[in-house]
Amino acid sequence: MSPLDDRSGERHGGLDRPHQGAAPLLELRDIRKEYALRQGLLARLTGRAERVAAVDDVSLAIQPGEVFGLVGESGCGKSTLSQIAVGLLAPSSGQVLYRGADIAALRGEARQAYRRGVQMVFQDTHSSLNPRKRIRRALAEALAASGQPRAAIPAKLLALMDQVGLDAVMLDRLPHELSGGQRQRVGIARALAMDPALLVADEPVSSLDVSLQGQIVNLLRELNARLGLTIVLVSHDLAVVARICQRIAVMQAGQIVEEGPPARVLFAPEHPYTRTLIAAVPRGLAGRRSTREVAPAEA
Amino acid sequence: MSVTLTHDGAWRRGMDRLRRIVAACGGPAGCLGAAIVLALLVLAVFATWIAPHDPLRVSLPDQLLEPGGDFPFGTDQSGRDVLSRVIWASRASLAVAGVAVLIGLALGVTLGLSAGFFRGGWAEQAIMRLLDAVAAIPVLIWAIALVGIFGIREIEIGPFTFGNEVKLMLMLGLLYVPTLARITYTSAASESQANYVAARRLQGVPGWRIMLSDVLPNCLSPVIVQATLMLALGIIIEASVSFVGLGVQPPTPSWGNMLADARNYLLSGEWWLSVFPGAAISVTVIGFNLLGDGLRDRLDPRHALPTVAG
Amino acid sequence: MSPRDDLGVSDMAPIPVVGRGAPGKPLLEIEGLHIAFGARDRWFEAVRGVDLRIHAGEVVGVVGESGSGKSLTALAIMRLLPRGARISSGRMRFAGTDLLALDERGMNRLRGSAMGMIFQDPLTALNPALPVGHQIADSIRTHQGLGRAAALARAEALLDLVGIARPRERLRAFPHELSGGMRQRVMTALAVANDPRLLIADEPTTALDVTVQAQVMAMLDRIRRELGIAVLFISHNLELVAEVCDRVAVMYAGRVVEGAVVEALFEAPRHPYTRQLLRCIPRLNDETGPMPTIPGLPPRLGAIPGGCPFAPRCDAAFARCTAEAPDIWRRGDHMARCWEALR
Repeated sequence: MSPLDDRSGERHGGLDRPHQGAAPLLELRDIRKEYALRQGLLARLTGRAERVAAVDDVSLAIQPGEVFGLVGESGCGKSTLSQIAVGLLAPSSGQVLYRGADIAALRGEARQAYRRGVQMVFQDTHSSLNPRKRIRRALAEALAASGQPRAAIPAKLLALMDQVGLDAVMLDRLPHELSGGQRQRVGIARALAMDPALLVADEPVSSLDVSLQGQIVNLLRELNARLGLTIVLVSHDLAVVARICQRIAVMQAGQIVEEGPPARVLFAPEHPYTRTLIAAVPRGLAGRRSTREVAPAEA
Repeated sequence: MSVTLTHDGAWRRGMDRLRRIVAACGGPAGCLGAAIVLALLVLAVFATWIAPHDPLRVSLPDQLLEPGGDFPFGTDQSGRDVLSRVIWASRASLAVAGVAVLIGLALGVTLGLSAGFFRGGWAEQAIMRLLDAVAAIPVLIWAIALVGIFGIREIEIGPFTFGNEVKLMLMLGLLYVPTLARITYTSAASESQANYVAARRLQGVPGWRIMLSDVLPNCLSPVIVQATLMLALGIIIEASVSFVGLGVQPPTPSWGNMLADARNYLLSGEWWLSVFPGAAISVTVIGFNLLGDGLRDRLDPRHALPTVAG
Repeated sequence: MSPRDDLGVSDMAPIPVVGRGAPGKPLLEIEGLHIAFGARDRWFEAVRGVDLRIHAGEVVGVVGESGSGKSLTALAIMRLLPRGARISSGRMRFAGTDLLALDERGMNRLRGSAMGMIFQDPLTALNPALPVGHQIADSIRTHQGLGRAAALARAEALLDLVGIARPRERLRAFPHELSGGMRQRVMTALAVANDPRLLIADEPTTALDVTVQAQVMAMLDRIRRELGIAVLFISHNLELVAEVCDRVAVMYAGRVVEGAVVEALFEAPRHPYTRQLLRCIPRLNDETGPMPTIPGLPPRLGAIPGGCPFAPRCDAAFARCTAEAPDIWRRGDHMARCWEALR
């Protein structure tokens, strides 16, 4: 039941296969992010404060057109890493390269291109939308920021809503009037408004119910297929990531411990941590322990 | 329910509107507070037409008349109408309290918002610690101490002359800054962490615009509540300072200096001199407090419509 | 020596360990529970007639998506409903006591003694200002009248029982000094401190990582078997429920739509909702392609459609489903509220 063959043919959408060897869309080189532990004033002033690395020398290359999965448990550094990738956080050391250019050195037009080209979808659908802004305004602001002419915005709004599978009447709602799944679609629409090349989705479905998770995951998959959008899916859920990604990286304690196609990672894991992770996933009836058989009622 | 159904649509619409208004003020108590505040504003603005007599006109034959007839609240030791003076005094009290809060809001919100949004610098630390220190001493104590230091004379700075009321406004306004700044700071700091702010950053929107258009509106609720409560505090402080003779100066009536005058008649039986200005202060303070509490109930997200957990 | 002796409670009446489907009177019996949510003249029924039975020593799972009413049901048993929610009708009997007739003092005696509860977020359920040992000992002293030293000794034994290493040291730890999994263990120690007969676990592992979840679930399973406690396990995670429960109730829009012994429910589900939900679970296999989903959204509170509330999303619905509320299909222990099952 575990074909290790290359299933990339069915997995890819927009582009035939990841362009191994071609220039990566986004490359992380020896990324390190340290935080100072909260300590006394003296230690902080003298710079002797103890530091802890949330991301510890990570290198990754995201190929154009692929869906890349980053898996790990809370605190493993995957969120920090994705914030560094989109430029919300600066790494302590290391380089982020977008289309081959170090983003720290980008200025003017090139910087704008990176800024628009890399967007993010957030986990918490409540805080990802401004509670006081109607959906229309949230999306229109994004379109305006992407440089759309004012006259083109109304038509673009409808196109965006259609793209993420939302009815246009939702435009006049406030975020709290939508369900979690609908808010997540709006979050995706807002990212798409920037016409990005890369979408980093940080736990996009973990706050949603099981019956709705698939809808969002399928939407991401579709965007990859139809638009050729490159997607980095960050999640703790190995099963979801394995289902739609062409490559998976498993992260533990700030480091990537295993990387490869999902079939290999799932069915022939090399790192003990990956094995632990796989073993911990509940398996329904198959996971019932034989020792659980309790004594009959009347002995 | 059956009652509403038997009445015609207009009546029901009226009731619906009433219910919405009551809800907007955060319930019946908040609504009462809003009504009191509104009535006071009307009194203060239209004092010229509402007051039956000139509040400054001295008439020795009418000295210390009991309430009744031409003088529903009686007259004072100079024969001035107490009702008219109470009405006119609302101007001084509300002006001092109101302008002070506006000054406090302008400075406090600006400071708190920028400190909360642009976090992490030593400037943020320094400003917030300084404000903490100032806020540690109650505003009333500060007010009396500062008025005592700066005296009751008018101050001339260049072409401007600052009367006592203006000094009081400025001083109170500055004293409100720490509290308002800290409240704004707390919400701004947490709102700035929200993902919608990150999303705006990813759109390449400059920080100051995110701060004004996204963070600020989401920080205002607690600030508005606090400002309303500060209006009540301002009324009390104006009255207290005027009572000890350091605030609004006679003959301009203020509830505080009216009470100060009434001190001499507390034991001799002219109760109306102290009861009416005293009642005006109490009603006003209660009004602002009710409104503030009502707004808190209305604006506090924890009081919003309950959501159901799984 | 039985585990109860370790805890120094051998003098207490033994609680029989009974397997699934035990005959006789159930430990907890809920009938026609309705819970309304709202304020003043706007009330919505969030729980609309839930029947549930738990026998001594049994593990009953309640699964459903958010808004299905499963957590409200759990809170109602403890009479801990949030502000704005109230039990509008129904009967709840626990070990012969009518829970709805109890006054607040009577309820307090039950909570934390005969009924224990653990929550999704232990941090909000533990007092941040007190060491955990202190909190457990307090509960023991309140309910069992033990002395300070004896209570602390028992608290230590409890921490040991829930698998906390170096329990004597950890007695002095504050909740914020512990990891999420540790806190859930402490919470469990607190919940079982006074020999409950029923433990209500409301999404106890939802906030935890899978590896920690596996550890905590193993701990809960061991404890309930050692102490012979019945467990009401509330979860949205069907795979987890299948691993640990004897019987399962599936809730949708405030009702139990299917209930059965765990194998029957997972191997031969009768309600289309259960079937569709089981399909949606992401599994570790080599499947690719779009994930199965249930179209549409769960109904909103106050806008629950007539007929079968699941009909608009159901892949097996027919005309009758939207017209009439479904009757109950029953075969032995297995029930489903569905017209399609009755066909």
